[in-house]
Amino acid sequence: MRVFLCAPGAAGRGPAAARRVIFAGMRVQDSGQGDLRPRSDASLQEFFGRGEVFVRQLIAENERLRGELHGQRDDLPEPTPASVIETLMARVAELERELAHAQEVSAVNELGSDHGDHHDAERDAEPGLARRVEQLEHENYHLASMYVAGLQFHSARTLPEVLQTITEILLNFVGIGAFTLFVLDEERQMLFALAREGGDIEACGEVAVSDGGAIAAMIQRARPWTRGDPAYADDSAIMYLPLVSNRRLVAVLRLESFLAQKPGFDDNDFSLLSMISEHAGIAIETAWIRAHAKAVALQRQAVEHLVGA
Amino acid sequence: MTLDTTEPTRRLHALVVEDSPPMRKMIVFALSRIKGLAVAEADDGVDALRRLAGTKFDLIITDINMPILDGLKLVKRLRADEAYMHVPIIIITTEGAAEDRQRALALGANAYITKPIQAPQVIKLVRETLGIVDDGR
Repeated sequence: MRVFLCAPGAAGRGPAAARRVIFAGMRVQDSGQGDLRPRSDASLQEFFGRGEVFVRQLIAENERLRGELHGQRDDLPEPTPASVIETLMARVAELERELAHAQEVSAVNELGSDHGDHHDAERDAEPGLARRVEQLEHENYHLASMYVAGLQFHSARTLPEVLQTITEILLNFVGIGAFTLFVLDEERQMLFALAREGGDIEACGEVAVSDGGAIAAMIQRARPWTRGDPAYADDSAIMYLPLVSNRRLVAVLRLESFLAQKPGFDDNDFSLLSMISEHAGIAIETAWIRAHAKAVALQRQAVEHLVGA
Repeated sequence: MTLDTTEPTRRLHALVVEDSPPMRKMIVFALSRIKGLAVAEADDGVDALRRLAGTKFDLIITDINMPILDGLKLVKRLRADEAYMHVPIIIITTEGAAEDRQRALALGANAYITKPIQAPQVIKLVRETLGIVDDGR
């Protein structure tokens, strides 16, 4: 996939896509619905195993980057807010409770089998389990998308990489067809457009942070957006999203329109937007620091000094 | 004891060709849910050709817009290659790129998926393409 940043005339090029697929000349087999319960249990177990691995990898990556960033600048703020990780952990716990419930349903099903009414119980339980497995698959995919988005932000080393990550996540994961990224000029206290998708960047003027309106209100809050927060919006935006690093506004994303096939935000989108709000600002700041950092080889004495050894 | 009849008689191999790391990771993750399917990745068309030379793949999923060697050229090359003449190819495209999509299908691609991708649809299409019975995952 190509990502064009700030490209005039980009409107209409975006993937205004229906999600349909075509299928030509291929073999289709029956899906086979028999004996669902054991397979559902196995699938659920595997799901939680994968979820745990994702969360652990995310935590490990955060720890690594925290150390890396502090190694570059002593006064660097805490680079990785814990709230996204906490949200993921809470979600894993919630799903574990649901797994316990699903296992109870399985136990009831088994009990029915012992009493000779196995077929009735199975018939009653299977559609529910199948539906639940499908929901868990969606959850699983969503957790994976959260993990991938977080990893991409924290592994981006340059501003173009950060911009590409923002663009790809908004376009391909959230389904935003047009947006503008405004970055804060701290000296002038002005927001300027650095990248735009689905429109002409030249049409974007600067915005003074002292101006009233949605952006000013957002700046006053000075914290990442999370689900349940007001969705700052005005006539030109379906939502403004603050990109924050350590309670300091770094940039603002103006989400202007959805892709044609995207009807609106769902719960998973809100989680991703929250992830972007918390991590993209850190990624921008980190890339900025990297651009001004002097490359120094790792040296034992210096490293030991940093850790107080 | 229940006999597991969902395991394919041999392990199938799919290659995902996509230059966008997050997209590639998500497609690979979705395909990893298909039991019996081994998934490899390539950054672009040239990388794909290198990997295709070393392993016999049963399915290729490729983006169209890629640097160096794009998806259209890759499809053309594969359809001219005896080893991959009949191997299913699914292209990844955008709704706005209808012309590219038609060209890819005319060159011999079998099907397409559009961005933003939906994992269940990708899984379903790949299962149908490879004739893998839905194992409930």
